[in-house]
Amino acid sequence: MMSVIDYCLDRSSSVLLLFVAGAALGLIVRCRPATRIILGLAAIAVAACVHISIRSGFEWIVSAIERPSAPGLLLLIIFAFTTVTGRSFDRSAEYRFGTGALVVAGLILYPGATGILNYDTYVLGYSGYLLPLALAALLAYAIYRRYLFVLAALDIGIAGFLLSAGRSLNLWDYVIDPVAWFLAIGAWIAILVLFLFRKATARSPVPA
Amino acid sequence: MTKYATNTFAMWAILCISGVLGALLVYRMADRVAPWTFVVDVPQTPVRGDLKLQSEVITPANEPDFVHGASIIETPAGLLAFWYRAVYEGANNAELMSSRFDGQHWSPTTVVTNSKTVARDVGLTVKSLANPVPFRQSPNEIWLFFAASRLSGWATCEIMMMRSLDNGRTWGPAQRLYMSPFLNMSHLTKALPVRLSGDRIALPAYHEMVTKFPVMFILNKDGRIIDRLRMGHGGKVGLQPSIIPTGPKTAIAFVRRLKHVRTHRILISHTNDAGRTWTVPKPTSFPNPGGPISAIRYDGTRILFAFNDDPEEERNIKLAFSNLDGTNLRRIGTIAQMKNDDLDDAVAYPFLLESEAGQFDVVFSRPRKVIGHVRISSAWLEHNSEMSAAQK
Repeated sequence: MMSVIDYCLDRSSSVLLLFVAGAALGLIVRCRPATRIILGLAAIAVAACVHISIRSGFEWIVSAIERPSAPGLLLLIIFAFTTVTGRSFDRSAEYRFGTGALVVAGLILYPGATGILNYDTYVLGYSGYLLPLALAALLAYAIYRRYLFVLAALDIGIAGFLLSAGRSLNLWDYVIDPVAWFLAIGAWIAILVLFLFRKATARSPVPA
Repeated sequence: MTKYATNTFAMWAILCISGVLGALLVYRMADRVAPWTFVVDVPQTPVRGDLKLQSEVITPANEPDFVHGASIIETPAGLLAFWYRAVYEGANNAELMSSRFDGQHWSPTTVVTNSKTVARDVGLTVKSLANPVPFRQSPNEIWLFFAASRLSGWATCEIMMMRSLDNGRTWGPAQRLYMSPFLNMSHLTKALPVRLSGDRIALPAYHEMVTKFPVMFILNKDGRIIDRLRMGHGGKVGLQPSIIPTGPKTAIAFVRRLKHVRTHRILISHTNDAGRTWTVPKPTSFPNPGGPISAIRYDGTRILFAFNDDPEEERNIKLAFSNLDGTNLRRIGTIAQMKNDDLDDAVAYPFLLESEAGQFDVVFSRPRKVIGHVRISSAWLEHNSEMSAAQK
């Protein structure tokens, strides 16, 4: 039988995603942070109560999206924090580095691993030097720049892999997951849009 | 300690931990998966038995549900057959069924597990189950691999495994095999695993979502995936590989063609490095309607395989011999045929096993209510093979 930790981890992505969706709705309609938290929790409750076929909407999402990797869980928590507080991280170099690394890692991993490309990049996570050296380089850069959140997320992922703590024995599964990849792509789209918006605003003539 | 000192200490602690973990990671990943070779089991296959086929229906006469994906394993108490049952293919609440054969009769069917039990075991809701494949891990231990669809359709499947420590009388909980970084989706199994050196096994499987290609997974003695090898290219290649080792580093795989491809033929792939790399599956001279091929090693020079000998429909199941590199294929004879007057009939998904020296068993499904069994002797095979050669 599965452990309580496995059970909770399997549901953590779904809980946080639903919470973020509900709280983001509150952010769009300019609710107060407390109301956003209530909307986030309400989204989880609605998904748990609405049944589609034989299972609840919440269980459908749980079955679909798997558990998060350590960086994925951190990113979901950051998104939940952002949607509740309204604070944007797009000007944080650490945030841009972390999400950028996820975008690049996903582009390297998923097209090859799902057979769209002939070379299977997933096997790099079973053995060999390439992926660990790439991660060591990421760690070294994060140490140099003192990116403590990036370091913490990678450290937890690597420690989980070294202890064979998850179901997978592949290093990739501890440092990236598809939900984190999609969120990171979304984050970078937002970063670029905000960058272009600020640039356009800065260029526009100031009224006399 | 002051706040500044605490922050500095925490920062240095994280930096040190990161450095140590990075070094440990590089050290641990170096040659983590030790090289393997195939364990080549060459049966003696004496010529024995009579020249008549023995056939039975395993499922009850009044079976109300869809049954498919049969497989068998030899146990001390006789043959043990598995298949899946649901209201329709891919329906909710599917069951994995089993039945035992005492040499004359099949026992009443029993439920090994079902979608709800599997969902409870793994903590995720599971829609349907399919394609059980048994593997003998030790004299008393059987591993049963099967596909479980989490959402809807076979493309959302993952492969799970159950263990029996008493030759299939009781079963432990299902456990998930982690095979793909993309939501662990879209791998299914159909053919017998192959033994490797170092107590490891190779599980033939295939990827189904968008791209369709055969894969070989390497499992350690605990049943966890430690490597995966794509058989040929990615993209749309073929399904349901059946792997036969022909030497410590060589093997041949029979691959089911895809429905939409123009070449309606059985595909074959080869490896010369114990499965590290495989050739792109190439068509043979034998037809394939888009059904699986079940192959086993017959003797020192031949492979025996069961297949549907038709380019369009699963009209019959035939047995054939192949040499060890798949360049010389020869039909032996028909062991099951669809009913002429029933357009909905078919004989599909053969699964072949040598249950004793010189004794072979094939189970298959007649969609949608029947699992059939045929017992064949080596005498029948050799006799029909000679007849077939003489007719040429």
